[in-house]
Amino acid sequence: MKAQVYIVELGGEWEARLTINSEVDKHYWLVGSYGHYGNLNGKLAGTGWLMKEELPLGDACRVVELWGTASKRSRENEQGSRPAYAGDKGLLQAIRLLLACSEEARREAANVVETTNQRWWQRSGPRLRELETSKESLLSLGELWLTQGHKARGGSRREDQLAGHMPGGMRANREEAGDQQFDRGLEELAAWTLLAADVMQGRALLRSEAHALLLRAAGPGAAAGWSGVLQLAALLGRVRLGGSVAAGAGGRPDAWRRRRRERRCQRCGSGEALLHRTACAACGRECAYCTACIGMGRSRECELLVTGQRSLQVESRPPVLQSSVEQRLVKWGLSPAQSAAAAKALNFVEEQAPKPVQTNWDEASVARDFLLWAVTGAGKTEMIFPLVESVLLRGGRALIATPRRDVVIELDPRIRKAFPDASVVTLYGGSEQRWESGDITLATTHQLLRFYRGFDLVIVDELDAFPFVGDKILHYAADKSCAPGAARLLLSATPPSELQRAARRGKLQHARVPVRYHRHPLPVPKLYQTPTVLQMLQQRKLPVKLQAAMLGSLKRGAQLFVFVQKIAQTEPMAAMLRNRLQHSFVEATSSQDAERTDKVKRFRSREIRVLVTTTILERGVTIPKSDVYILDADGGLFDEASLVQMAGRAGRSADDPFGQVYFCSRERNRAQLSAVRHIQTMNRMARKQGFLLPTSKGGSAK
Amino acid sequence: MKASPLSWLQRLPAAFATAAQLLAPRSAVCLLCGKPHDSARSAATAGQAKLTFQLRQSLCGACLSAIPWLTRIACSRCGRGIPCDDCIRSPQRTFVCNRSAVRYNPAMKAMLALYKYRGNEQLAPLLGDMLFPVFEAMTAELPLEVSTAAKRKAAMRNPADYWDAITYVPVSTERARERGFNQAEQLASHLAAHYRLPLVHVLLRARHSEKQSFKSRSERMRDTKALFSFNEVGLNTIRILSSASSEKSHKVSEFIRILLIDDIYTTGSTAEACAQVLKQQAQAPLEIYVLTWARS
Repeated sequence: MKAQVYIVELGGEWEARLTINSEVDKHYWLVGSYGHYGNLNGKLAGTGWLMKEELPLGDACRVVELWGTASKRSRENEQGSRPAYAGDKGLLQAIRLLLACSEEARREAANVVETTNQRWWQRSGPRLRELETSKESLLSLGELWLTQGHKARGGSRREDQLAGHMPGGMRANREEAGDQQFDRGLEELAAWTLLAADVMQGRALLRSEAHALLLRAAGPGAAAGWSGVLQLAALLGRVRLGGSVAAGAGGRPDAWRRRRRERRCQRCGSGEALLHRTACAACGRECAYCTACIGMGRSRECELLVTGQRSLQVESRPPVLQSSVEQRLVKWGLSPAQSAAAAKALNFVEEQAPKPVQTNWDEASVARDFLLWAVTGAGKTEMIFPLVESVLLRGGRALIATPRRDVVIELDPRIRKAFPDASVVTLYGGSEQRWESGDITLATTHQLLRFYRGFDLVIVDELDAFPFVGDKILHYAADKSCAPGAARLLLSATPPSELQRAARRGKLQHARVPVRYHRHPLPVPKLYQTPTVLQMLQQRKLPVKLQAAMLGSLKRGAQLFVFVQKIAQTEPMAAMLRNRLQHSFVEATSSQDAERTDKVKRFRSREIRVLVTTTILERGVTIPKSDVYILDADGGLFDEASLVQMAGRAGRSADDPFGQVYFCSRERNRAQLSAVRHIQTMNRMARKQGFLLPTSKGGSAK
Repeated sequence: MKASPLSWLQRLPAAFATAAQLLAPRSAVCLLCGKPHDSARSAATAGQAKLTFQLRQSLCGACLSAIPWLTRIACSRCGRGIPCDDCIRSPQRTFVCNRSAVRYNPAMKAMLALYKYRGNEQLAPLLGDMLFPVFEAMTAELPLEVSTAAKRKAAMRNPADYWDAITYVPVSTERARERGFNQAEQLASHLAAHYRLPLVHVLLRARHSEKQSFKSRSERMRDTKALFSFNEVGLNTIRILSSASSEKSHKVSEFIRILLIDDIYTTGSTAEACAQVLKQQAQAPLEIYVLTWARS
């Protein structure tokens, strides 16, 4: 889309701004009152001048930026002794600078190489030089805004045209409809704007998304006048408007001119390598779009990105915490290991409650990370409840993000049950609550792209799971969603090695939960030497030892997880097991199985006794009484983390804490041995810290 | 055909482009399904000679082999793979015939949606490449004055000699602004650049209509009337072409042969409306052929 730029005189100083609906700006700067909403602008302008030409959005943003650097530079040069440009002289000088800025922005966009040593703000350019002679011709490039009493010169036709874009009553012709209706239009606009600014807090939305949000929150009238609403919100400082792909501030100062201003997707953080440049009919020039986050709507240079500022009242609310950490933990009924870790995390979250500081838009927000390293089945979800409660008590907003959509849907009822008074919003692709805001937000990590500094506590669950692990975009999104100074809690049973190292070296605060909530040790895997799955399938033979173990598991009434490496092996393996075990309740599932959810449900209800699957079910599935068989455990797809996760499917319930885990492979490799070591270390740690149940109460001395 | 120095020179850019393609960075993942390439599987499909290098590089084997090429045509008028009711109902068409590259099945629907509605313009060259085989087949099918095998072979070698211009179905200004591009124009310019044919911008969309894909059959038929107009520059281009076309060696007919490109052919009403405007306004004898990416 395109935007316009204008300058306004504020107390003798000229300021350049960008607008997507100039009529709104004109009223804001010259009149500033909005019916019974009163005066929203405390600093009216004396004069203004709107450049008629519509610029591509990216260029318009750049013009305002260039104006900022140029005026800063001139202020430095004059060192305080600024001549107050009175009347026409100041106006003309400002217009000239604005035109120079727009020329420069155009030049940058077209990548014109510098040919002169002259700095751009000193050089007036061929187009400007010929205009310099005549004041009238300079003024004719735009529309002059004067305060009431003066009549705007040469802008009446433009006004009529722009009035067409105004919401509601403002669309009507002013003379005919009279002041009353015009005022009603303004009131309507102000009401919508304040509402929109509230719902947009902490979000980063593309134009179409902002439009959908307006439609949902303020009705069709506001959505039709979206440009006016967004523009007024921007004038009030509640939202920021900018290109969705733009060159960020910073970059290497010693780099070449062009390199220094490298573009990035402002939504997902992808750099030039992932941007694709095409001719664009919307802005009329070559325009880059981001290929990395295109699944979430197209982010491009001339596409509007609306970023909502969190209002400060929320952050500055004093902590309302009547009781101590221990008292608050009691009501959640946690095990000793859980409470110890939760207390540590809670202290971390509360030790530096978000400060009520005015934060800059572009200032890098550093999240404070805390790693909660809890074994599979430790009851991580219960441990985060007190943390969420703490943030809610202080009037903040909490976010629980996880890479998998299934997990989000599963978590939803548990969170709602734990916090019946809080509003919970669940977000995933195709979620119906897409445009709602709540105290607690549950989301897939992809949805975080649509937020900007929106949350005072961010909890990232299963951070080592696909697709979060190794995805730069999602990491960027998770960073961006934290309000400045917010605490971020990373949850995992198998944290990536960098985090483990950082935790060991004391660079990352962390708490370990080495024991499950039922206080029994984790089942230690048994290593069996067997032929590969391929050989088993080719020879139609199941090794005797394996067959005996499986029959034993079935006999004791357990559910069997059988993990294989390849999707293609799931079905043949299931067929062979059906035959060998003389048992018809054997099924196979994988990521490409349309009936996966249904099969998992039947497995849970014990209709299916043996489920052959791939790593797709390595986490998130809790089956009460189950044994785990990992075939081809030496295969490349199963690393330590994945083996530990799969082993973690066994023995999860208090009724049957001693599930069996078998690693079956031709060779022992490092992954298997370190997975076993990992589990043994956790058990040892639990015993040392006294978290295991004493033997006399049914615990084991293993 | 004699190999004059000039023709050698003309081939140079194409040769350079091919050479550059070998060096061009290619994504490690399939543009459609996002899965990493399996080089072994890509090699297996290399036998499909009609597919361009770029197409084979950008898509994985599974996605490539899922393309439902429209090679067997049942309706010679609209290029459908099955006998066609529309052509029986309204046998009078202003254009000569339509040919499409693929059948519009769910997979192709998803591919087009990714490109057209999601705006992933990286797919534009792929969709454009998919038009090449059908364009060449269409050229070979043209009624030639001397229909010997040798002549047909010559047609295969240089289809550019048989066509005067390529044009496309326009979109409205509003749609262009919203979408940022015109898919038909991108396909047409890709084809025109590859075969070095002139691309003419002759048609304009006069009014903004609802998306065709939301309308029923009869609504489509009614709505496409008076939807298109002609621009003056295009008219002049056509005049110049008509004087130039008589010089082409392989043609005897006095018609100017124009290829109209669109992304999808459903009832043919869009193509028909465009062809009518072209014929009425051109003030020159036109022969209009339609080439679409998909036939639903």
